[in-house]
Amino acid sequence: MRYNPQKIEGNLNVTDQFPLKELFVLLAGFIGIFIAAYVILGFAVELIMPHIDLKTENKLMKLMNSSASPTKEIAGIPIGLRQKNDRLLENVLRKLISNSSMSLPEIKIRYVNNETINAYAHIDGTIEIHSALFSKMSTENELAFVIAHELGHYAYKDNLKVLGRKLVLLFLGTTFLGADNGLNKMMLNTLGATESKFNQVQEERADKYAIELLNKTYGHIGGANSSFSKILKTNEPEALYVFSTHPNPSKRLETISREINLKGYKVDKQLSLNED
Amino acid sequence: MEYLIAIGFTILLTVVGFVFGTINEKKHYASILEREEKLLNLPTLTVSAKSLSQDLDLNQFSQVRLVSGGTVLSIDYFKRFLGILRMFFGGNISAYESLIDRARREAILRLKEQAGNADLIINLKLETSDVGSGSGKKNDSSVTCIETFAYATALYK
Repeated sequence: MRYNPQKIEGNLNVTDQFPLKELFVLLAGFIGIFIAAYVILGFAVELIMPHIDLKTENKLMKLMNSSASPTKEIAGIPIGLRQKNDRLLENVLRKLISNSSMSLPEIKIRYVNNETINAYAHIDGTIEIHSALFSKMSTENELAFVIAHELGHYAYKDNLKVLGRKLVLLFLGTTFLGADNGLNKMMLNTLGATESKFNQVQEERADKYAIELLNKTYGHIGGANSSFSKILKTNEPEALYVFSTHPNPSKRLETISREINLKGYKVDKQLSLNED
Repeated sequence: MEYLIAIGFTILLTVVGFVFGTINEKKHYASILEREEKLLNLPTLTVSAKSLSQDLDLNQFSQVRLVSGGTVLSIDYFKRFLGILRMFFGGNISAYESLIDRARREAILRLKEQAGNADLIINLKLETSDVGSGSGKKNDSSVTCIETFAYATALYK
């Protein structure tokens, strides 16, 4: 037996592979699978959500109520004024709901002292009307259009779809990245967020629902166009809205006008804003 | 915003890991190859004395000594990230292959260096374990550091 020292060429113990190429291939595969799973599960959510019964929907909303955080309010509004405005909003809401043909979950409405011209349909079933928007409404019909638009989001279960998509992301994040990861933390923080971002299709569908409900409640759609024009800027360029979740206001106005002409809705005298 | 910062920080660590990890690995392999060539003539075997005594007269050796060599190598962030991605799809984790290869070869070289002017090294054994994996987190199976320990018997004439 003889010892024969020999230098071994190469290194069979290490796979000869360019690490960056391997990184890109694996990353592309990982991201591709993640996106495919999200899209497929997203479609599943869109298919399932409309079939959730009202009882379950109310339970989910009550569940979300515990994690919802109220919109920031400017302090200093007199209690009497708040109560008066809350009552006014509740009256209009009751009128609209009684004329709605779609099943609606338990909805509440409140007046919020905030400078942003906005209204929100929160995931816990609360519609918030900001004071800045409220002050722009001159008639009950204009206000009703705004509330009816928010009711449209509830009627089409848009909040649940948004919640469903967030839950899909949470599930995928946990599956691929483990329970304690940055993506999950981000999702959990926004899961109970009180404002839901609806996409352009959902917004336009809510507009159509609002027109129809306004007509059913008041016999005409007076107040719809004027309400719209007061709260949205219609002279901004289209390019601004390409990647926005909201469609261009001018486009929304066009869609509403088309719907009005198609259905032959009429405009008539509007009711003044009072509590009765 | 904080999540964008976290993602940006991860990308930065990955890039830094790739650059410095590649430089360190190249330097280490160069050192390993140089020392392996110098110590090529010191026979290092895994056979035991009992097996060897059938072919070799062990009485010619006047001294025996336990020799050992150990090393701890850390994986860089880039390789760690690559290893985690690879675990989803299976296959060779080449990122860890080079780490373990370097660790073992370094441990053996240090053992040989400790043996000094030994004539023969027998009964070589290697033990590898991970150090500080997952920072103590229960479900984190990614490797951060490798510790390799080589021990053997050095024979001197």
